Amino acid sequence: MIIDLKDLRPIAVSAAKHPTFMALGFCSACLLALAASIFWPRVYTSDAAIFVEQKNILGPLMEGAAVQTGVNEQSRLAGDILSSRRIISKVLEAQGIKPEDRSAVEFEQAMDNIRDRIQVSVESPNLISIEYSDKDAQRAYLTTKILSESFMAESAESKMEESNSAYQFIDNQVKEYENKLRVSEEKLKNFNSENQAVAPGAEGQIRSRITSLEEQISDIEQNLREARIREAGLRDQLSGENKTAEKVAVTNSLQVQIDTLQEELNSLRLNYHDEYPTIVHVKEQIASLKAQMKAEYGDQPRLPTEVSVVDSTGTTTALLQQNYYETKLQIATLTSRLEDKLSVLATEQTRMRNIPAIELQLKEINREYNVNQTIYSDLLRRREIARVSMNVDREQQGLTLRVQEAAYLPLTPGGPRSYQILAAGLLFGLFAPLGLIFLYHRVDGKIRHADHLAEEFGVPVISTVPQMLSTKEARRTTANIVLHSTIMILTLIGVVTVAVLNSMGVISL
Amino acid sequence: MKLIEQAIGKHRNSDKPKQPRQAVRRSDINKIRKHVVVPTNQFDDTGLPLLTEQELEEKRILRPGMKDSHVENSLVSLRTALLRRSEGKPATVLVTACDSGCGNRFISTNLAAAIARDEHLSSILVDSHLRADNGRYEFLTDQGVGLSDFIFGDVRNVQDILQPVGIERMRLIPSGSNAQQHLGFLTSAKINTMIGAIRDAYSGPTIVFDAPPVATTPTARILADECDFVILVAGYGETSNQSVAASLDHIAPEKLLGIVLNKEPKLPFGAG
Repeated sequence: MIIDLKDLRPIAVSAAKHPTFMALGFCSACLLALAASIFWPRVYTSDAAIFVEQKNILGPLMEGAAVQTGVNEQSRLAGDILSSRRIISKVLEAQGIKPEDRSAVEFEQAMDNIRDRIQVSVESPNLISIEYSDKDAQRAYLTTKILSESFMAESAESKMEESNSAYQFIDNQVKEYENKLRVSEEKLKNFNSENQAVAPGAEGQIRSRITSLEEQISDIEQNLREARIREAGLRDQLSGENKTAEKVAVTNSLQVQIDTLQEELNSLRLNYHDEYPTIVHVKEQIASLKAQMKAEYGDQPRLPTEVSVVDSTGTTTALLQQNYYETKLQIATLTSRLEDKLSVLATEQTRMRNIPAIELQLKEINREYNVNQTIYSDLLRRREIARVSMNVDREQQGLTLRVQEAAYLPLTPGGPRSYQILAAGLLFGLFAPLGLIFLYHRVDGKIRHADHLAEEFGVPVISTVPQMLSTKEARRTTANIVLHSTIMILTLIGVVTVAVLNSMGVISL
Repeated sequence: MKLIEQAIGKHRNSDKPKQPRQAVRRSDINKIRKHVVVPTNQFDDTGLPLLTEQELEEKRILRPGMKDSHVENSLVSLRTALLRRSEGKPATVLVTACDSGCGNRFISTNLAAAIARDEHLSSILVDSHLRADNGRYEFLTDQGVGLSDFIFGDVRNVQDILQPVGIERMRLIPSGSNAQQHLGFLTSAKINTMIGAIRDAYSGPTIVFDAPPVATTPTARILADECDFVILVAGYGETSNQSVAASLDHIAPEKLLGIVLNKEPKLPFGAG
């Protein structure tokens, strides 16, 4: 906003019109400023800067293996740490205030008082500044010193505690998981011993075993069936033997005679011609026997078995009997074997049916075991990291705090200096009445500008006529202004003189 | 609404060339003189001694070679504005105020005096303040008969109410005796009668009516209707915008010559 000089004119005019108001405002402001500059409390402020080094040599080396306490948390915590009861009472003790001398309320108030005067600020990401203000310079220095030292000790300790407790926690977790792992190992072992058959791949084995069993059973059944047939055959033979035995015997005697004669003939032929009468005779005999036989049985050829067993009918029956019994024994053996195999098959099949359930159970146990093992090994690793972190903190190698700027003894009081207060007061005394006039002009809505008048109503302003004062009036006005200006200047000189003398120590107020 | 009014006002302003408020140039005066009808019947010399420079200064009346040229210039520019609008013809002009205390007596007196300064022109100042408590002109020593006596009383001759004031070519018509009791009877017709009588007796004088605030006084409103031009006086730091607006409501825009901002204080020691 550009201030138009024309806008300032009404203010100046009003100021000239009310010199008493101006002089009163100026003089009172001057005197107030003088009083303020003299009685302004002197506050000494000492500060200490603590440098928080986060990136030390250990950082990159231990990256991922150890966790370092961050500087930001440290800075954020600085205020809390410094306003803790422990540190504040340490400060109070240094100032000679002991809890046993005061009542609890008074002591509490004293602590709050100290807290109010502490100023903690994080100036740059790595710099924490601690400030303490006091009326006594020496006390300000000592307190700042105590504060900065306590802060360093406290944060180192708290960091140690933090990493210790972290280690403790992880250690406890490790132990817990160790137990859990042991339990699941035990469970697995027990289960395995209970269900040995159900080893991995057991299903295939059982399946092949069942197949072979089934094959065996069908073999046995086949044998059994054969044996049964043989048995039936033998039984039939045994019952039919007695009827045919006689017939067989006659045939056999004829045959035997023929055979004997044939043998005789054969031996005779060795010595004699066929025309030999004996030979002819034997031939005739054989022929008659054959004819007889033919007449009896016809031309049907004779069974070889009959031929084989022909020698004695009694031995054949015995043989058949023996066979029959043997076959019966075989059937009994086969039946019992079949039963055995069937029961084995049933067992195997039951086992086969149980396999999925057991495997599920095994899987469950295995999973639990694996989870526990994973967590356990992870925790083990973490515990080692925590151990290293703890060691890093123990060796003061982590977050390093060092005093960048030690507390010092403040020589000049902080806050506004006397001359600043005085100057501010003088300026205020000069401009505040003008400001009031300006505000009054804003509020009262009276016309002070020909231009504003023309703009506001769109009516030409023909002329602005200055106030016409008679010489006497003009002289009186001027005299009035001169008088008030003189009063103002004299006040100013007086105030400045007093202020200078006071600061030089010539006079003491 | 106000903005629109302002814009219209500005537009109206830009149409007319701005009236010079500062020193009046000699060429302007000469231009005006060409139109001036030289009066045939001037005021006769009364033989009354003219006011001395010291007396003029004490009575705050414009005089040639004033120490304060600002005042002189501003008052002369007022006269110039009037003469421009009237084109040199004899005119009637009302000087009224926004509110009392604006100093319109000072403005009207000095306007009349400024007109009379030109030897080809003459002026009559009419005191229309019919209330007794409205103050007196500083140059009046004797009230005598005046406006009310001519309009309501038995004074028939207009010359009888014209009083010399010790300034060449300028006369005064005082408010008159017993003015207050006739307050309600002033009408347009009566005003016109008086103006006619003056015009009959003299050709040429500019008649300056000095009236109380137009917003609050019926007399001023009647005069505002009857006069050729109206000048509205506002007091620096005393008149509010509202009272200017209220006063403008009673003045026909075509008659309004303009506003005069009076009593602007000077800074001490001649500072700007």
